[in-house]
Amino acid sequence: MLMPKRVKYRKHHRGRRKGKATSANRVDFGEYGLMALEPSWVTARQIEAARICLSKALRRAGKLWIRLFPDKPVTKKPAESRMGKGKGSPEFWVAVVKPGSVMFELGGIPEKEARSALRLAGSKMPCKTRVVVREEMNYEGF
Amino acid sequence: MAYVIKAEARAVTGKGKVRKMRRNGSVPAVMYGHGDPSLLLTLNAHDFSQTLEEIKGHSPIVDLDVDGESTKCVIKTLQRNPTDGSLLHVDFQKVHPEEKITINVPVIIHGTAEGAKEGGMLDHILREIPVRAKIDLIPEHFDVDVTRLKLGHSVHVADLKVEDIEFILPLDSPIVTILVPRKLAAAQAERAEAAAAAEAAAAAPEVEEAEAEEPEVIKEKKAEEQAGEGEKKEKEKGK
Repeated sequence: MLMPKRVKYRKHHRGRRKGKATSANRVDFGEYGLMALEPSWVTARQIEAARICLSKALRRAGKLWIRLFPDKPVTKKPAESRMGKGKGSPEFWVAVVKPGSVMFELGGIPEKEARSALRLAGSKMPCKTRVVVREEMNYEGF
Repeated sequence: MAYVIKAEARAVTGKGKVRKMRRNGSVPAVMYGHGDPSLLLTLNAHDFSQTLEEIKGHSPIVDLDVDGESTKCVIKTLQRNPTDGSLLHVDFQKVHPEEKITINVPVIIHGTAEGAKEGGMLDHILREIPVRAKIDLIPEHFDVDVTRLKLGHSVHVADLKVEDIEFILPLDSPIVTILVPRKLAAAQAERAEAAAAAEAAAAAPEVEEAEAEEPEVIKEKKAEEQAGEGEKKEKEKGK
């Protein structure tokens, strides 16, 4: 499963998840993408489940891009422990996703297969998703 | 082809009023360039979206008609809502016919590559190529014919035959390449191994033939051996 090799701090604050995605919000690499429509924390397990699902659909043809990385540790206190005595220990890793983030991209396979694979991968995600197609031109300034 | 976009000068500013404008089917825009003061504009969202559909696959050079006065512009930036794709704001930059501008020109691929028919994957790396040229010389799009591309082959920026245009990217940047998928690469490796084995098998009879051609050497050896044996016999006799 994905997780950072080295971190500066073991435990993070929870943070807030307001606003929309300002980067990684369009299909940049492949032809089709899976876009998040809600803010959420996507765990490393969920990313792995979606990755397996997509690579099965690709059947060693085409290309897959994973555009999110779980770099935020989530802590948990042990079961049946009383409150206090400090923050719990890191349990798992998550990627923070905002509406509009393109999480996965596929290229080199027919649209029908790509759509069905991405829809399946979307069912592994903790948020509502939509399959998006690359735009002809990105007027992003030059 | 000149695309005409109709716009009206706008006096309304501020996020609240602009949001209200968007709700009423308009898009805020701005036109600037040549050191002139920037001009705030309003576009009809529906008409502008239709024009954008027409511009698809062409360089974004347009004639902006502001209250009856036409100005040559490029669509510099287009802001969209990332979730629903609705238009938020448009930037137009004025251009002068004698002035060189930097602009992204779309690339259109034609045909089906030979490599793709063999199972390779067509990787379209550069969908837009930034160029610097006078506005009249900028092509609407670059056409790339990939029908003759074989597995592992690419088309580079240097392969585009255009004049008086300066490419911003290095000339060896690939535009399109035919990737060999892992499945096909494995099959190719197996085929290569099989071919190597067949070559080895084919080479083996050659060795035999070479050996068959060698008897002369063996004869020589035999002669040497015979001579050696003769010497031995003589030695034995001498004893």
